[in-house]
Amino acid sequence: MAFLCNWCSYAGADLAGIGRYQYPPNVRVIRVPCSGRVDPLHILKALQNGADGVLVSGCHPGDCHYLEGNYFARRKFAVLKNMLEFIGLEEGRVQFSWVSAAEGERFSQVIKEVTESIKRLGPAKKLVKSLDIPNEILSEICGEAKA
Amino acid sequence: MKEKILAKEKLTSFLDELLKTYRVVAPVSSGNYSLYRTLEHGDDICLDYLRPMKSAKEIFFPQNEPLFYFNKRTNKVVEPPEGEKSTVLFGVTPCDLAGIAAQDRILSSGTFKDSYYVRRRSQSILIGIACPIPGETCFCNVFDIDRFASDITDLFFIPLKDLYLIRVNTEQGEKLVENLREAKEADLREAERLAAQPAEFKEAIMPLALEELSHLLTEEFESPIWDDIARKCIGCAACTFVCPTCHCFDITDEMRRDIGLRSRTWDGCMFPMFTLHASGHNPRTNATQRIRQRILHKFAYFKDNQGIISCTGCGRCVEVCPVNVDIRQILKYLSETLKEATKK
Amino acid sequence: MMDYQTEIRRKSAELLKNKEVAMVIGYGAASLPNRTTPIFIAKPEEADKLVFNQFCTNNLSVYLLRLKEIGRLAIVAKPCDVRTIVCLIQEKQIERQQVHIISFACPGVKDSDGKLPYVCANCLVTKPPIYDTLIGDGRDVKQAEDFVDNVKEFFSRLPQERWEMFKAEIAKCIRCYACRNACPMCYCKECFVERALPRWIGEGAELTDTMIFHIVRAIHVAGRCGECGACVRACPMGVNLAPIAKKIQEDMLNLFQHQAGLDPEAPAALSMFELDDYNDFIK
Repeated sequence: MAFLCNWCSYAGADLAGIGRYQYPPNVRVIRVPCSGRVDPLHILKALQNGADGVLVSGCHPGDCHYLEGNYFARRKFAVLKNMLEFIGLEEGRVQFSWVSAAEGERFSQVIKEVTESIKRLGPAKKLVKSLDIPNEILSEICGEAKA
Repeated sequence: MKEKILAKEKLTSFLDELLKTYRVVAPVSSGNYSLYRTLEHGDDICLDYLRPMKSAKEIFFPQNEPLFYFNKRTNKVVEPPEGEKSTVLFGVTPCDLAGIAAQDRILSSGTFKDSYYVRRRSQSILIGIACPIPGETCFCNVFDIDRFASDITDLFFIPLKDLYLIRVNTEQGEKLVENLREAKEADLREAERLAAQPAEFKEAIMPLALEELSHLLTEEFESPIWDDIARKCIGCAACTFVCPTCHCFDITDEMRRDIGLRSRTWDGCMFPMFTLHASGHNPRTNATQRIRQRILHKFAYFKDNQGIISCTGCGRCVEVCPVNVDIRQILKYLSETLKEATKK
Repeated sequence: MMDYQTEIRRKSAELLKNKEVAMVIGYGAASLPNRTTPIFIAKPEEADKLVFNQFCTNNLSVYLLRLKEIGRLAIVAKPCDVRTIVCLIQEKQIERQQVHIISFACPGVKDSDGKLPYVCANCLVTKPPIYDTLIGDGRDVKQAEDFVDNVKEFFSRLPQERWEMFKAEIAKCIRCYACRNACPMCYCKECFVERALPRWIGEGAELTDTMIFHIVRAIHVAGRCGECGACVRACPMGVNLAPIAKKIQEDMLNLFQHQAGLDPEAPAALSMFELDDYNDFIK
């Protein structure tokens, strides 16, 4: 999951597309107005629903479209990252970057690095929530209902 | 049916034998208290503590109960699988047995029975255990709970000096102890002596009988005493969740794309959101109203509707409350204040 | 300590008689040994109900917000409790003049098992940062005693071990929210756990939901936590929340040079920033 701020990182991702810079297709992008909008709950929910990794990317400090959003985000992310590593979540499951609208190639580079590091960590297991549906019920549910 | 005996040192092998056929749930040590948990081996059992920290209700009325699974797109609905092994619930204290009796009234009696509760309840064998020495916060005497016998158990163990005297109440229970030795006269006498010993309860019996209290409580609905009582309550559900008789619940759905699960989970009337209507209206917006509701429900409304008080005097709520809200003191205070009010 | 009790009673009666406050929030005798209980005195003649001893553990500032409509309040507060009052004032939940703080230099309190709590053994502030009435001479009094440092133990483990320990602690949680409700800084009218659209975490005690509850609550009080220990003490199941709470406040100090509630002029750590904040972890 990649939370990209609309004004910089999302635009940078767009530029990567225009410039045909290749990057792994494992990333699912969610556009947010500002990196400061991203709540620890969004990141944790992504992990809980099975995301193997989360990237949050915003404007470089000083360049935030809303002037200060990414400064506040920086503090919040430091707290969250330290907390997750403290409780034993693998370092590298949750990552952060500053990517500007002009950095198309760099965006593809960041995604490549993040994807590599998460692949090395393997599938996420720790915070994943399963509904614990027994297998036989799952197959019954997924089958077609009788008319 | 004839009473049996079991040497205390043979308890774990008795449980191991049961484990061959049944799932056995009994008090198990967990940190510095015990909890009712499924045994892996007979020697997992821990009877060192007065009673487990959480009541036995979670065995029949679990905190998370899957109600059914469904496919939103195809409208297929499937209920959870049945047929677990039968469960033997061993070492249930008299207060928790009274709690089960109260839960039975709501969930497995009358016209509408809760099928999930009924299934678990009917698939289990109850073995109670006597409680010779009341704890610091116990007040089961107020509700005339017999600490040495029970009429809802299959078997009832009374700990004597080196052995348990086992009262056999049902044929189902008899089967479990058919290979044990019969009790002698001396054992029966010793059990009677034990039961006859005076027990010390820290808080005195209430001045107003519970009958009168239930009646008067509802008359004093608008009294300012509820504000005084509610003032220190912080509105958590610690008391609710450890209580043997509390049974409020919520139902929520959780989806994964088209597949979903509807669950029933414990809820508490102490939470502000408990009574929030879809319209946005909330009939109980402040702590005073919620405490009043809790006390009236347990000591007045439940008595009116079900004939018994929804409290067993186990004292867990007194023990766990972070701010020492003590229901014994409240009942005493209420009955004294209400007595004054009726005199006028 | 006995002098403290007489002085607190005297001062409370005086404040009520002079109508300087409408209510005094203090400690009273509990119904159980080794405990006290919060009491609310509105008449000067009731001041004798106030007690003061080593078991005055509750953080009474949790009652300030719901009682402030009665009028001006006096509160008996330990220095850690005063930290939370300072945070409440900073967050404009209560005004400085609405509360008369009765505080003292604190030697630490005792839990009902007779032991010194973790927060007392690691207390940063034995003297109240602000007060209106100071009981005693304000000189530092500290009793070194036996306590179990279960936080350092947690810190010293490897990540995988910490995960197992964290999981084992959280598994005890029954989601009664006693920790949240005992915390003066958790005053949201609607907590994130109660939100249904979107539903952040489910009801019931599913393990990953419960982990997220504790992680997020710790983050929500980051830079606002007075380290009073009310959360740990309130828990009926003995969940040890101290390691994650302490980790957050340590980060506030190490990364942002901030400690909650010590300086009424210093804004909370997460509601401000510096241009050169810690940035190494960001690509």
